[in-house]
Amino acid sequence: MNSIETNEILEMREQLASLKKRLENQEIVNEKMIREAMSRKLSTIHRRAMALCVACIIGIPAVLFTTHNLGCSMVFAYVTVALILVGVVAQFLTHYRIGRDTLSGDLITTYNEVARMKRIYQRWHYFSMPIFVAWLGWGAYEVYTNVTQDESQLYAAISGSVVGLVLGLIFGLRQHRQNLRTAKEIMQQIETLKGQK
Amino acid sequence: MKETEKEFTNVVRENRATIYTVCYMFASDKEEVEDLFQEVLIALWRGFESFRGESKVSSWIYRVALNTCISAERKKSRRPDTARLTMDINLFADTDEESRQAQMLRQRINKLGVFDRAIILLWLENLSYEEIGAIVGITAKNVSVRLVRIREQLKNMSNE
Repeated sequence: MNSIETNEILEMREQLASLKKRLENQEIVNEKMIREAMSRKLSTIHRRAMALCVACIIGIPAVLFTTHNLGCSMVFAYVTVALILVGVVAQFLTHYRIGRDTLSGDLITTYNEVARMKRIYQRWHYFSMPIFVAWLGWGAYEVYTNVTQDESQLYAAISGSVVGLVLGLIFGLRQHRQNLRTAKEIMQQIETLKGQK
Repeated sequence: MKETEKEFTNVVRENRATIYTVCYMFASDKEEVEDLFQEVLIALWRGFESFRGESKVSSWIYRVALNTCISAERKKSRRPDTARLTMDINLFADTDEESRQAQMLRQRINKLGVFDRAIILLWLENLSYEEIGAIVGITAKNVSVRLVRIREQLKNMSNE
């Protein structure tokens, strides 16, 4: 082990030892923090998925009620509910392999699992975004033909939706590209590590 | 408090410096360290009952902490009601010599890729190649080869 010691390494060892010594004198973790952790059985990523599922399931009666009140067709309402259910199933399929013990495994195995989940997310976006845009167009058509009589209100609603959609797409695409880049970098590092001779 | 909860609390308290160090090496500011620390605690608690002592507690802590820090989704904002760490030092802002040394260490390690960060950190903590390999998921031989490359990278960085 000593054969690869250099000045940098020796200095880093001293810095780490000094840091650990300082940290040993700090309380760092308090009762409240540990209690919070024990009460939150799901990690952030799982909580987000579960919240989305719950919101979708609660949203189904709301969708049926709203579409009915707006005078939209029943076909539109059922297709909307079907899309929500597909979204919920996709969430479960994405997360089912990330179990309670996943993070106790070795780094490469764990990251491969997490990367698999992220890849499914990316593919899901390719599939869901065009469907969402088509659904939005269909929804606008339904509202236009069935409800709105006032043209100025209609144009205001359409302009607002278009601006929101464009901003959402820009933000989403930026995030998507950043996620892809990070995942790609880490996967390259895994390949490098595995390929060491 | 149940027996398992007491045990967990003791394990966390005994290894708090290790958990903090890992989070510190992967974070860019104090808030991110707090978020990561909390995520690590949640992950440790989730895996605590099924941890059967097949490996050393410290190795398990390293695996969970490193996995959490590598895989964590970075949050844009914190929940205001989340518990804060109890520390009277701020390793990101303090300007005393010891804090400066810690910042220098973090900057050096932070320039490496995430797996190299894990490998060098474990090696600086004096873990054997076998232990490092088991945590990272590569052979001891690969660890030694990787460490030579990391050393070269660190040397080049200090020459820049």
